[in-house]
Amino acid sequence: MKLRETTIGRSLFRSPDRETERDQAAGHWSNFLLHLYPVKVRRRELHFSFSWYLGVTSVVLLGSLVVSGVYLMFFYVPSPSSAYGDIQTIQTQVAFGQFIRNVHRWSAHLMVLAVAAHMARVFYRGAYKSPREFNWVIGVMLLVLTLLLSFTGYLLPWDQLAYWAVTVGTSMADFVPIIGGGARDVLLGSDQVGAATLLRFYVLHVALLPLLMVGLLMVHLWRWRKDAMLDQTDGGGEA
Amino acid sequence: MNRGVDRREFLSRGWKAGVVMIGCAGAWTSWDLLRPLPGSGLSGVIKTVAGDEVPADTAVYVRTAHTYLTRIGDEVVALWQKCPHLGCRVSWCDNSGEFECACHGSKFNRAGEHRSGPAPRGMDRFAVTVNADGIVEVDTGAVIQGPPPGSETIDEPPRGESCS
Repeated sequence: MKLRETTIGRSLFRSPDRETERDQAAGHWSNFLLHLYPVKVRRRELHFSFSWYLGVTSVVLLGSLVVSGVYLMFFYVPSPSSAYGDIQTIQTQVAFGQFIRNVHRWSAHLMVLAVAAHMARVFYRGAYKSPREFNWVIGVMLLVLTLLLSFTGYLLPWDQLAYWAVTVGTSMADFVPIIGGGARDVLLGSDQVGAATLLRFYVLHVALLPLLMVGLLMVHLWRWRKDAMLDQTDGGGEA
Repeated sequence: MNRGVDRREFLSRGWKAGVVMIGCAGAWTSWDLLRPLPGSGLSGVIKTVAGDEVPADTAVYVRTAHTYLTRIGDEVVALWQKCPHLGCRVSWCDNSGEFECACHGSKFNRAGEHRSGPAPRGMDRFAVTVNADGIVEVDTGAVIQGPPPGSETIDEPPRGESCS
């Protein structure tokens, strides 16, 4: 008996039985996984050289970061007394710990590169111009989130490099006019990098920033799909 | 005929204004909640060592006050460890007889005055008093900004190789 004919199958798949060839074609037509690209797309845009798949690369790296990051979260406590030791444990005792940590680290480096390259590619193609300027702005926000995720993750190993890099980074916030001092205090939660800072950076790194990122990314992808067949002669695209 | 704002328009604008106000209140409250708790940093007067134990050719580190004590002439000076450039901990280099910042290489003489590097001024400092028992007390509640660069008051050139 086919799954689709059972009660559970019927509740899972609402679509009608695909009996005629026309129905079956319609099934393919409406399949999301077969249409990650927009329904209509220019032939040359499918070529690797058009985009170098840099946006796709960024998304794949984000996926890799989420999976490896969740794995690391099982073995890491964000407190000054345990953070550094937890990293050592992950690298020496946890199954595949060293590997997963390396995946997380390299994916993070590569994602910053991929996002920067994606942005440059869009810029030099002129694809940020009207009528696509909204998605460009979303993209800039995603770039900022990528950099913030990178920065907050940097503190978590709690070694000398992390500590002083974040000391320097947060001191730079001091130079922002008007809100600089307040922003620094809110980031640190104290007058210097300490337990409060580690906890704050951790919460930003594993909860707040990823949520914002996924939310904005959905808007970015939706808009990319909807904008695909917009006019490319007036600046947008290669004119 | 223009009747001004009708009821539908009034309610629409009211809702929007309400959402904006709640958003602002939320942002303000969150910002306030996330400020450091009182007393989470350095504060207050901290007792350190006896005044006659502070030497005139090196610096004594006082961990509780994040401060170096050194003697300039007859006076004890309390120099905050935090580099006025970007906040790293400045360390005393016995070899050269200078304070050196490991992060970006700023150098200060023994009086905490700017000698070289990107720091915008000399090391920040705290007020010092010597109490009745001869103990040096450092008031970490108020930071006194270091002197502007180019104002060296002591003549102590580096006496050896730098530590960095």
